[in-house]
Amino acid sequence: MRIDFGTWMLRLFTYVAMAFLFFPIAITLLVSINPNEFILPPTGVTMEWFRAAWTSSKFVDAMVVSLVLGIVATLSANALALLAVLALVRYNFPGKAFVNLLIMSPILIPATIFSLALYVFLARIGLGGSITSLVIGHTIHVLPFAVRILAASLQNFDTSLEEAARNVGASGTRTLFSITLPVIKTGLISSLTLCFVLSWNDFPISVFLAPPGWTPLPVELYSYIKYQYDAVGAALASSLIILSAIAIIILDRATGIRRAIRGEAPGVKS
Amino acid sequence: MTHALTQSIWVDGVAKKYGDVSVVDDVSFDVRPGEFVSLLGPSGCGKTTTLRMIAGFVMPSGGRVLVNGADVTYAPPDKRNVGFVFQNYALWPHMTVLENITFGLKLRGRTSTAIRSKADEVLGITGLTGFEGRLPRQLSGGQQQRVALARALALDPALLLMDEPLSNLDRALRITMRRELKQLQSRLNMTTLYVTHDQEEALSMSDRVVIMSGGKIARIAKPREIYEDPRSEFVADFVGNTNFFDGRVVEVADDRAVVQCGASLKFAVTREDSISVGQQVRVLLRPERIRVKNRPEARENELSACIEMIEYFGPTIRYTAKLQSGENLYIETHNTSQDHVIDDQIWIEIEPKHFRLLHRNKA
Amino acid sequence: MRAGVVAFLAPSLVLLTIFVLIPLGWVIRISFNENVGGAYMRSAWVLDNYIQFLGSTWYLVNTLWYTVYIAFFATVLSALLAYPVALYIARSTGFQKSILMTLVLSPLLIGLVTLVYGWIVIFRGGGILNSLLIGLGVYDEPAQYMWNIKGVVILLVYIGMPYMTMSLLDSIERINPFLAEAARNVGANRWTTFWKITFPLTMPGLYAGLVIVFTLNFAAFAVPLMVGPDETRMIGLLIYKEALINNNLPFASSISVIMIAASSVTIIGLGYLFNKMILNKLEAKK
Repeated sequence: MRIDFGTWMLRLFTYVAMAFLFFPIAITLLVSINPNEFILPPTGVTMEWFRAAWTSSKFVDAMVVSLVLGIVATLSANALALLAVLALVRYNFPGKAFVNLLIMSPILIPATIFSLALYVFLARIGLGGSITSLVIGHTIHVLPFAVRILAASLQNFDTSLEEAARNVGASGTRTLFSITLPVIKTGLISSLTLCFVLSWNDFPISVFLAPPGWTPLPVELYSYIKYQYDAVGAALASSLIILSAIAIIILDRATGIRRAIRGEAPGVKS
Repeated sequence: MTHALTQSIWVDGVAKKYGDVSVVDDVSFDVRPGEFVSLLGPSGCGKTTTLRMIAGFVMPSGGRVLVNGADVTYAPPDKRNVGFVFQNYALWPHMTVLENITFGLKLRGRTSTAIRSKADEVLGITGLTGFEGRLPRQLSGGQQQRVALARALALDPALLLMDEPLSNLDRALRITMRRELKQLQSRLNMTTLYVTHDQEEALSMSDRVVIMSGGKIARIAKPREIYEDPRSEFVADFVGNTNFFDGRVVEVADDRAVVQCGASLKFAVTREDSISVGQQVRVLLRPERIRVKNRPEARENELSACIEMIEYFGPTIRYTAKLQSGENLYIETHNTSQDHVIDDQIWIEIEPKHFRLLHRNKA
Repeated sequence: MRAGVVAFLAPSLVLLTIFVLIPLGWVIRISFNENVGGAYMRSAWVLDNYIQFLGSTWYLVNTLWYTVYIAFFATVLSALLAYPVALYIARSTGFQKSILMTLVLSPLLIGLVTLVYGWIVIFRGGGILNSLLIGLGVYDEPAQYMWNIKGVVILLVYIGMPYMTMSLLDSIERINPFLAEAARNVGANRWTTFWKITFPLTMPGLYAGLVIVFTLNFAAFAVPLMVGPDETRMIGLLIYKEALINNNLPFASSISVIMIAASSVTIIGLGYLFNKMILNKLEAKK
């Protein structure tokens, strides 16, 4: 076969771009296990930095905050999204375009403005500086992602499966739990994973809304690396990377990462 | 088997509108105990909507649906006890064959022994014994179709509704399944309402056929009556092929009438009661009723024609011939050794009893 | 059924109304308040906060225009980087495609702070990039990328890359492959086929990508906050500082309103240009 110069150049360019994307991640992982911290190449492998990161009560506290926040925000957003999507995908009603826009608005509005608006409003109604404000902020932030993934799943869902269940005597609720949810399981897993990882890694909203004593991990990491330049920061960053990598694998297995991120706007099945 | 089902459907003036669009309009028919009735019509004629109204998936805009004498018009679908076989089978992909079949039985709180014995019974009936543990995606199309049927039968439904259940199978399998389905239905004496757009299916399986068009019923009759005596142009055209000629009755005798179709084309037809001289009629003639021969025999309705096109189907052959008077005519013959080629001059003969007349408005 | 729709949508709609719509309205409202200082404001209907920004050449040129410039520059760089990558991913298949997809999209799922950390390690004065560049003889002494606008641009490009690639990939994959084959069939070579067929048909995707990435870049505050110099004059960061550091909520709010307006104007302008230069021609050729 003739060597195609154009394709060859394209491939080279892509690999260089991939290296650019992966470079900071690889460096962080490398530094986190390097006994000599920032002096590369590493001369050995050490778990010292990880141990330091994972035994620091500040980081462990932050991790607990992020974990709780992520779980609560993910579950509430998905419950809300599931209900909304069932209505949006299956029924047409006046004002639907506006409802769609409103539900997508948290990702259409720049995070700076969205966070500022929540910050000033929650302060005004007396919820500022409480953990509630973080939960609300994160729930709303991940809601559109849940809606898009679940909408994509439900749009591909064959409603005759539900009719068949009703036909053999299942109630509406029973059908939802025995048929609909199990069938869109992969979409649901994708949605839960994506929402959790987005909440877990969120910085812009958390930095505006985090109350004293409830600092999520990314904000804690930011304050740490602002003043400290050592491999403990790398170990912490690597821990976050590893968790994200697990999420990426789950997403890839469930619906594919691309579909998970893009999802679909909840229209109506033609 | 103890399926002594004696229940039936009565659809009484049912209608369905979406906004201003009328999808089903004043449809009435019944299905008698043990009867196999087909709803036949082109796509969009409202046959599936009618079926779905009986199952409760679509709420009628008017009229009543009675199952075994009970009014179920607005009953939820889970309270109707009618079996439904979906066009795409609608097998739950996360459940095994056995789980699919027994889901409804479990909802009814049957004991596990009762569930198991019922499952074994319907698995046996549908020839699925041994496939209990498979998931739907591990089955062939024909097997999936059987699971869908078994799932419906497991609940001893008062009646069975089927929505084009064979349309996703390839032709050979469709014909096999059609025969099996019919034999099973006869054996169980299962009251069945069957939606199809395939006229062969409707004619070969049904006790009666309900033909629908544009949301209305066009004809309800036994298969043979529908084909032999369509009584409307739509039915004649939709079921089988038909030659149409417009003409005027010019002569009425004891058992004969003569219809003039164009300047030099006349047919002698068997007289029907409502015929009178001067009437405008449309003459229908099934292509297989035409006899083809090589020379004239001085008989009634004998015409000469020229073959313009030949379609070879295997067991039958269809000729498109031009009559001397200029009209085109479809002729279907069995594949005998007698071969014709294009531009062959042939003679045809039609017995008067093979014509059907439709009254025609002067407009 | 209608009642069901309402019941299903109500929880989300109520939440979003209370915590998105009303807060946004509240931001607009307090942008007219008077700032008293010390985190206090007085309810009023004055234009002081707008005048403070729009009446100042410093803010207009050195913040607003500067942000447009930086955001646009980073957006164009992302597009230049993403286009060939999207093209290559679209042509690849199977495992290679899925691994490339995952790599391209992973920055979206790895937190910003984490990514920034990696770049800090690379960029610092004594960091890895400088060791490399000095080792290669490109520079004699360490160049400064960190806490510097170059670092901001590189990170914006980095973060914009996944969005841009995805948008382009969607439009490339939507092109009917027979169109290119038809062009080859009538005698066009690969190069001509690309420029005359594929490239024009990806314009909608390119435009969508530019809009998404520009909007993100224009409003960015976390990137300039973390890698920019202390006096970074990007408008998103200014909002953050006025709100959280100076506690001047009315001013932060008015800048937000100005930012949304400016961003919309730029996007509309970009849309107009695109329409006029490229999309119109596509329409005419049909």
